[in-house]
Amino acid sequence: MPNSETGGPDSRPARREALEAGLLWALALVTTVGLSSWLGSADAEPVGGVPRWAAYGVFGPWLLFFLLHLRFCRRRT
Amino acid sequence: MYEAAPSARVAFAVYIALTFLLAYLARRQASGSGFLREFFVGGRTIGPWVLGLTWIATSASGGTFIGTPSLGHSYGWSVMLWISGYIVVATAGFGLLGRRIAELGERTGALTFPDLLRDRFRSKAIGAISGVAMLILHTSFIVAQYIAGARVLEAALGVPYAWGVASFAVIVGLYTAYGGFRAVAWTDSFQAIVMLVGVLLTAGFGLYKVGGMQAVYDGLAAQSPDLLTPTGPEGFLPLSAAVSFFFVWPLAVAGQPSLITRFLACKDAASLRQASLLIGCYILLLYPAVIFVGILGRVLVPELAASDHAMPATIVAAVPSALAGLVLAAPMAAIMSTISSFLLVAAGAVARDLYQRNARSQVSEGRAKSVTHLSIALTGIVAGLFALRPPDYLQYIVVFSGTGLAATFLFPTLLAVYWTRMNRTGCIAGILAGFLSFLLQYALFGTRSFLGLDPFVWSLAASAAACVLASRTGQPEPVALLSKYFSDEEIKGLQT
Repeated sequence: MPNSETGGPDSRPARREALEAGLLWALALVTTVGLSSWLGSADAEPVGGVPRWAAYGVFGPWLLFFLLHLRFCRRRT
Repeated sequence: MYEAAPSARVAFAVYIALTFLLAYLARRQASGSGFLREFFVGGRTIGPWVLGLTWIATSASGGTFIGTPSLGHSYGWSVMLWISGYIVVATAGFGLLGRRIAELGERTGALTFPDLLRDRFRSKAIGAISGVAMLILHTSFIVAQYIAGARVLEAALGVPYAWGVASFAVIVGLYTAYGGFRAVAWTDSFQAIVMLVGVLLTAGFGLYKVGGMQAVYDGLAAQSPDLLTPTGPEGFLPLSAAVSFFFVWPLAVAGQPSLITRFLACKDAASLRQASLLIGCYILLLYPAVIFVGILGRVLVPELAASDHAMPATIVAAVPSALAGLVLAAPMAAIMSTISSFLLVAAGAVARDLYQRNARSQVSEGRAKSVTHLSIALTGIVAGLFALRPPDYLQYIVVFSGTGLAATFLFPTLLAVYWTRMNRTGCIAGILAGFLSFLLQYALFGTRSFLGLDPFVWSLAASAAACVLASRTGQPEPVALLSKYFSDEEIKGLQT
């Protein structure tokens, strides 16, 4: 496990990761709940048998944040 | 009403036999690094695949496989929004604490979660408080898993309820005590694969049987258009609840001691990163499918004897009987993997945190082993007895234990490992504020507190505020202690 060159374990790289994770969480919250509430209506046409709000408000963000998660993991060393 | 064919029993027996075989093989791989280090963190040699799969198998419990499809059956598509916090569970679960805990585990030699907090503040009181809280809350969670497992056996295989509870207690207790963390991690990995295959097969066969996605949509619309809305029937998910659950899922997972313990067993930083990738993929496949099984179950089997039967009933209705046994093993796998991990954490709380770290003289390896095995047996027996005669308020205890642990420990842990100014008073204040405010809100308001938010959200805020205020009013920990956890530059920043 990486230590700093200053003579002790450096918490800053892990802290930076934690802040990024927190930011992604907040963005996902706003996107998912916001879009689902905005699009939510039983009358709208479904998308491939899925309610429109779920297709664009849940599955869309899920795929987007999955890709961001992959990027997040690739950057961590 | 929806009992599976006899072949299902054979398949299920094969599944149990394979679980024991894996526990046996895992024990043979023991690293020989001392009993406690091997038993509680697998000698810190766990690689990415096993780490990722044991993490997800521990976090997916009987609630995931029994409770969630049951909600999908009752409230339709709104449950997809209810669970949507899982979008960032892998990111938050590993990103917030994973790397830092793994680093500190290696550096300080911590074997259990209370070890981390106790050593950071050199406080026996913090170790003891954490150990007792974890023992109580984890045991109550195990009770719920026994009940969920016995209900699946009862509904699908016709096993009497009491026998179901006893079977779970004996089977899981035996392989956990026999092989410790390594056996639990290996069997968890096998169970995680069974879970995913089982759910995907059920969703696939169910979709085929109903006639496709549009047929599911039309079937729900015919029963009630509310099943297609984001709020669901009977106002199941108002906006405040949707926001609350986006806090609950990712942050409750991030602050769960049984999952934090997994990071202590990690081999290296690369394993952690790969495990996080694996979990992101796994969650993307598993959770929408689990809820979808409940949703299509509403069309396939609209009438259930109990809503908790949604998953087994859908399996029996949709999956060919030759495969039903394998698929029925999916919920059993989720339940068993959670019980084994929680048994291990509860045993660690007794053997390591309450006994060994407080013993006046050196504890021999044989003695540590006996106390650990005895703790597993006693926890299993106590939980089994509660499960045989569950108290009326059990559901409150279950909900409390699930999010209560994270409400109690998330912020004290985050600040302990990232903030040089945090001291032991701040840690104790944060633990008590999180725990007590959570309890108080449940007692006064139930599941909807101020502004309609879940008590968990306010408890996190209370815990964070208490940590910061109490730490600010007291002295920082000595530099000699801080230098084990932070670099010289960070400590210098504290002194200026």
